[in-house]
Amino acid sequence: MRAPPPLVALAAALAFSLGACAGGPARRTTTYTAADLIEASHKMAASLAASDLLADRTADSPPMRLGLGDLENRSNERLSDMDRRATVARVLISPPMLELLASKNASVVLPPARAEELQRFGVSDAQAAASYEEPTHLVDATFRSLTRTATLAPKRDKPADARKDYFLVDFVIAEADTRRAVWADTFEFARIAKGTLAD
Amino acid sequence: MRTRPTILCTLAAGAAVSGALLAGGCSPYQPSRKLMDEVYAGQFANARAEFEERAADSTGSKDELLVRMKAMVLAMADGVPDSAARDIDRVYELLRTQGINRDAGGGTVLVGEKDSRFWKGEPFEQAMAYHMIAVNDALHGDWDNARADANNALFLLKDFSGVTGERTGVAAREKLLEAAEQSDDDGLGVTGTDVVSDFEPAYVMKAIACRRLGLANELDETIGQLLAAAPRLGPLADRIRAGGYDTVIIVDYGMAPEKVAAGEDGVLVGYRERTESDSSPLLVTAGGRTEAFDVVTDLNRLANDLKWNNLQDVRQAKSAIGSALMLGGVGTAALSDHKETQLAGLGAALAGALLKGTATADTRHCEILPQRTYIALASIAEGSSIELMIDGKPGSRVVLSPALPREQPDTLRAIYVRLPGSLNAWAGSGAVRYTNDEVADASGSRLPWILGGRDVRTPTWDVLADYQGAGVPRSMTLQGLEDLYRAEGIEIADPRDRGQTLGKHILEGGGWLYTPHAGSTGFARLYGQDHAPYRPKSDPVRALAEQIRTETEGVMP
Repeated sequence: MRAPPPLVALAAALAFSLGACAGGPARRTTTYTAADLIEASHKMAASLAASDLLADRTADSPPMRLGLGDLENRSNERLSDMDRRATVARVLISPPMLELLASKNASVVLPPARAEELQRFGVSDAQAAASYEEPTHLVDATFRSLTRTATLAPKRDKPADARKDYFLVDFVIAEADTRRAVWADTFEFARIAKGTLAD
Repeated sequence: MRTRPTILCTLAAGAAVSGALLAGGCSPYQPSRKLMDEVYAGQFANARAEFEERAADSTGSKDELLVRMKAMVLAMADGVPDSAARDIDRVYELLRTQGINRDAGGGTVLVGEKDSRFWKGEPFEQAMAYHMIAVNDALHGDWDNARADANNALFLLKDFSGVTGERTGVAAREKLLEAAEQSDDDGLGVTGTDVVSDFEPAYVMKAIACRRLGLANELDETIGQLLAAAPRLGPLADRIRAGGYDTVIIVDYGMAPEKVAAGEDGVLVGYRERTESDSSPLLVTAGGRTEAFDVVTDLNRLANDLKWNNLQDVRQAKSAIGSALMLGGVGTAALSDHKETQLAGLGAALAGALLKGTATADTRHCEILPQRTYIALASIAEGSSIELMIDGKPGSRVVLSPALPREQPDTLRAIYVRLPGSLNAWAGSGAVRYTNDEVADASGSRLPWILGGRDVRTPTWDVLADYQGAGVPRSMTLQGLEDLYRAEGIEIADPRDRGQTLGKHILEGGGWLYTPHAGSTGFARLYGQDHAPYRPKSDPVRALAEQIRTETEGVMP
């Protein structure tokens, strides 16, 4: 005997109902990926290595100590002070940067309290805080929004389903005492977000 | 075999009723009358404590954003925004997370919006949430982020007035549904026009932030956008551009409109005003001078404007109609083999009954958002109090104490005030009856409240020294003082821990010691009225209070 369709339809509806009542939302994160930061670190190391600031320096040059300077947010994204510090610190204490700086007798220095704070957020470099001395140079960073590209869905009233936000971070290294800029470059961070804008 | 289909249909009817009941078990949204009454009266403390607790347990639930948004609104109104810092961060994160409801699919039709979709709020609620986060960041002097938050509130909107012929109300939604039904598209199937936002407070906050940050070009652009959206705010725009102010006063008043099920079978959304719209200006009096500021935005207007709604109700109604026809067709087909055409209608009716019960519009909303927002700019002399009142509404009067927060002399200060709607003696008193972390010496008493005095500062060495001068034994250490609070079950807020969830204040019968922002309604309520004397619970505090009382009798003022 054939199964009675009304019951099938209603049973399916009930099962769907139960399923839909439970569970939380599907999450789609919109934060930076580690890969973005690593890529920026490599680019920054390459840029600095080729710069007038470091090109002529050797392991025997007078010490250069880089500290965190002004970190401004001009992007369209809310970035806490901690987000800004962590982003810049991650780039500065990345392996390619540390390797480069060590070869030029340069280092990253962080006041112990700040290093401890960063460590709580998973950003740590034991050396940066171990023998803290006042920085000779400060690294300023300005976070900017660049562009947003969207993949338009074919349906007319679904404006976008996937997008990519590009952030630019302007880095400036300035002498700590005079605030004279001695190096500047800009690096890009990409961030991917998915989902319809209406949601 | 006449009986078989009848039995089946009876079973189907039972299942349909069960289904409808089950769906009904996920009951319609009920805005809390008690919550709204408390907010209207400026009594935020109970609700704040409740929602901060609920927010902590809401992670991953379909109402998480709604619960956390209420916790944010309440904490800001109560002058302790840091208490909801985690909620504020999470609200931002959730608002920025797109596609949360992408997988809701057919469950929406069969269960109902409320139970299958993560609450993301209508666009005007999202914009208000971003705006409140901007205000929160401004309160902390973080104008970088305030600018970014405000920018996020200025998303593009979809205007369907070309289809509906009108922009507001249920009639416009019905016209849109009619148009949508003509399309086979599984979405809305109606083309709207992208339009720029007319959310005035975000333009105002962004312009103020741009000026503060020295972003001249962006300031010009933002002022231009503000004037295009709301030419009536020209005087405010001029004021922002000209500068000469050191304080930004963000003022909210009234209750946001109620979101109700409307239209045939309640499948569409409508809004009912809780606080009537009007154009009464905010009067700001400081240093003997009164200035009037126009309403910046009106949520009654936004809510009723189709472009400020996500129109999920229209999509849902269209989908439900389609599903009802489909299931009705299935029922008809199943029965037609047995020539039981008289039951075909029943099959369709059963399916329709289930869908009717679940296609009702999702009326979840943040009922404690304000009805209107004002943003005033003022230059406040040190030591001057500020009086705020909406013209013609004496119940809204609040006098802020002279001790307004300012991190540095040259910084732009922001204060946020949620005006009460009903007359309160404390709101208009301007008095500070208890010494606190913002106003030392307010009460003339330098004894802690738990020991019979009127001082509710959080313990420090300086505070202890004051207490010792007023009768607390010289042998008392800071640790000893803190231990007295612990013995009473009182928790002391840690000023270094931004994000510490604070319960109700001890002056209001709670178990926490802290000081709200001086320029807030919570501050005015807490210190602007007398509270019953403290009754010690522990032996050490009872004994010490008695000892001090005996020793200082006749000496204390």
